Amino acid sequence: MRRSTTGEQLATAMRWLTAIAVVGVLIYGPFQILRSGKYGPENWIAFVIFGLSQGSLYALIALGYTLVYGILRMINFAHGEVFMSGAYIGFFAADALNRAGRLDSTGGALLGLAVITLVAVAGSTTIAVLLERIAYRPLRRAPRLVPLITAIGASLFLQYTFSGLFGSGLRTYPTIDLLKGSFRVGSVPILKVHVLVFVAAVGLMTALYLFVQRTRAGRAMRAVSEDKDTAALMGINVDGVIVQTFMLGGALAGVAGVLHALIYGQVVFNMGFQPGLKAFTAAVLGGIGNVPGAMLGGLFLGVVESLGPALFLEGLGIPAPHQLKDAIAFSLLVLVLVFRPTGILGERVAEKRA
Amino acid sequence: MAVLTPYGRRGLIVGGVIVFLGLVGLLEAFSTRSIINVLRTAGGKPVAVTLLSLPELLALIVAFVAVRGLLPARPRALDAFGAVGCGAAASAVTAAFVRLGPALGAGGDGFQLRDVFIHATPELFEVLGSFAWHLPLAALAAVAVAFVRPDVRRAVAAGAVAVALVGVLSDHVTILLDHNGVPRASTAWFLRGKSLTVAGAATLFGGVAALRWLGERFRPVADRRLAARPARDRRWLRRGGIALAGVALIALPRFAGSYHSEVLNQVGLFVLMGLGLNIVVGFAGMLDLGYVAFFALGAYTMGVLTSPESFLAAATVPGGPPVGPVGFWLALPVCIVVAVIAGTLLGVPVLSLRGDYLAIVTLGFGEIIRVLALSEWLRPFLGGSLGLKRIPPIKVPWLAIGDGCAARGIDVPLCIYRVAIDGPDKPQKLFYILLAGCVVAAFVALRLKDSRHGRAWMALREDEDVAQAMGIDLVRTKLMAFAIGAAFSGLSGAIFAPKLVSIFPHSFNLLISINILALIIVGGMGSIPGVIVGALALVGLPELLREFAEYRLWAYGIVLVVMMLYRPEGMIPSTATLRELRPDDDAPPGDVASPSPAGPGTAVAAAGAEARA
Repeated sequence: MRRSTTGEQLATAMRWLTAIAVVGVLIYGPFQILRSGKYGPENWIAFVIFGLSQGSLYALIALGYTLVYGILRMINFAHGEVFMSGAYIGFFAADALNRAGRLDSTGGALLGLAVITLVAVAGSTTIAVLLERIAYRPLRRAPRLVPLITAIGASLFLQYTFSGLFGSGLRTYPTIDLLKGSFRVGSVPILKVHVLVFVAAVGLMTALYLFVQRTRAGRAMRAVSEDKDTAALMGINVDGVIVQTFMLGGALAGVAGVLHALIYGQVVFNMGFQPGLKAFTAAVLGGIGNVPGAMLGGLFLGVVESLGPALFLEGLGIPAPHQLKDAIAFSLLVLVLVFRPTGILGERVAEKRA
Repeated sequence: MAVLTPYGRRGLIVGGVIVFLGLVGLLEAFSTRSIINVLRTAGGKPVAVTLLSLPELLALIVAFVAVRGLLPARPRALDAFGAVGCGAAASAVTAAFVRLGPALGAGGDGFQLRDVFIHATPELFEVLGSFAWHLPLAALAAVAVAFVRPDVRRAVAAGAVAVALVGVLSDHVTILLDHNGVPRASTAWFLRGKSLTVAGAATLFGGVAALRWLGERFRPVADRRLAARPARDRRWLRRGGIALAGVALIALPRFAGSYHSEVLNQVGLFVLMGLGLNIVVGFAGMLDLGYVAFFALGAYTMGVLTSPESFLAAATVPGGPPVGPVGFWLALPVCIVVAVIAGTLLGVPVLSLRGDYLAIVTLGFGEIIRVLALSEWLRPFLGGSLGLKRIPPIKVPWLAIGDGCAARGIDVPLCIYRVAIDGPDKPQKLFYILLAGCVVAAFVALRLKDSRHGRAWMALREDEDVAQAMGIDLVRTKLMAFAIGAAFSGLSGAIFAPKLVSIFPHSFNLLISINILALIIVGGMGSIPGVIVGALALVGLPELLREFAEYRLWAYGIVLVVMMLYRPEGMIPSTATLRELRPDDDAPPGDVASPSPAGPGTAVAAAGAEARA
């Protein structure tokens, strides 16, 4: 064991300082706010519910990141745009159905939702597959920097293509009566949309987990993510598996897009950037390459983002703490990467071959 | 017959791409510009009519490139036929769209194509219709070009690029000529209205093509002659060249006028930041996407230290108005130091991170800084969403002799007074400040590149583990790269603040980081002249083509993807990058953040090198 250099000592000292500061905030902030009693239990529960719902969306998108990273070791920077495309294309279906008056009855609304989701998924999957074919496949053996920059370029291109084709304004989803209103659990009202989002997300994530663990195609995916070349030797169609992975990730992002639009009611061409970034944070939080990790990471991030401003920052006397919500999310990313780089549940990527 | 199917397919794709470009709105936006016009008489009066419009040129280029990619090196008659067929297919698709589009719009119950595709307007159909059947011409041109010698081909390409550029920018050319007192009558044969005349285009094309061809032909002769002379002569020649360039740069604002000096200033700011990011990404191989954070810190520090509205301002005269605590020149080192400290601090958590993670985390940092600048919490210090205003102009001490002093009411024949960089010719004056900054930065970067630190960075870029094994202190090297990069960005921000007089958090967003990254990549990572070329192309050109600002980022996206696929080393690659791409070198399979690809990029570059030879 050689003596650490001054640089490394500096880094370690800073790490300790940060840890102490963070722990301080984590203890003092909640202590103050809970003592002041500004928020009652219903408020906290409402924060948590909103956080779980938002977190489900992050989780669905994060699964796309984690699957692609597991197989290709690259961050699909343009995945946020896949999410956006699902929401946007779903909008056209929703709008058309609404104009034809098909969304008014309960049965019609259910069928309508299914159609919207299918159309959105078809769109987002197509975009994901096109991305892989055109932008990523030729660069498979290139060093890390190159596909990352290509992904950034693809992200910009997709955003502004949608802006150019369909306009840069907001497009409002039609309101569906079926989804208005809330359930009551005890004294706490829970919006129906949040329940839908959470249930849908958990259902899909479970399905994905079972798919990856129990089916042949899932086994092929795991094999390819373990070692591409050996998998090819074993007779697996590596290119096909990669396309399938992108399709899966794209489909999940498409569903997330529709769910997001149902909650927030509108779509716009640059709606994919922030959620994409946060979802990547979630994937890293849970351990990149790790499917249950992405789910947990997403939910965790959603809850922290929702509770964080009120629980930690407001207690410290920071005015308008909800503005710093994004800062909390990114700080979480930095903290995780500094103190536990493999994520909460641990990384699940094979060792890089020399 | 089967030979023709690829052509047909490609033609359909080309047609689809052109329709796509139309639906995105690009063609409609471009229709305001034309390249060449002719005089026709309409109702007795001569009227300038567009011969070659910008959208048509774009469509022709797309068709040309598509057909050229499909043609073999020695096309036969069948290939020529196929090429024309390709062009025809593309034309058919475009024309079909023009015919059917309006019909779709008139569909029942109020559904309009325009509701979905907002740019499916009558104007678009008109623009598409105007050149729909010209596409086979481009295909024929592609066939013709294949029979021409490579050096003539390159000359023709240079001529065409020149005509296209000058044609598109002809209004700027007119403004520059006016500003320098060139009478309109003398250039009327060359430029008319907003585009070139046929005579002008032909002359420009011939001139540039001839120059390129001659230059290529006599370059080896000149090189040989130069190599034959003693080294001392070469040194003097180079010094003379640099002196000439210096004189040209110093004289530039005078000939450029206010508007174009402003454009040059924008370019200068980005060159400065580009040089800094070049050190982090190009030399050290660390992809920093939050680079705008240091720019923001430099600008805000300057604002806080000099603006009379900042929280540090105090009245110098009791009861009088508050004045900023220090002036520009005292605040400047503080800005740089703040940026350096921030760079070091931000570098510490990312020391152990790999390429992709590093990018995302630095991006997160950039966003954190932006959110903090925008926040209510820091509003008393940073102004929140309203920003900091009334930043005073830079004051430069100036030496003047005789008349200048008398004009300022000073009797002494030699005096020093302070010139404020302000007023109607502010851009021209600011140009010199930026020029000085860029020269200093370029000098520092150049010297660092050849120093021990520079070599440590390049070792780091190639393979971290081996570098550490060789005894390089990774922590210190990485932090140094971050710190110096941040210093350049802070300097740029410090100049940006008095330039804009008011700074807002919205000016410091991720897109600036991406902009700088794009220009480094296009120019050539790790290459200093590359940064300048990249800035001119990706900052200067969009500034000149302001009306297409909507499509700027879209264009950046395409440029990034295309560059990475076909020319990842950039336009002017550094010698290190170029060396890595030579076909006889076995580049190691993709490892850490090396800017050169070992796969398809190498093959393409090698093929390109061979074709050029």
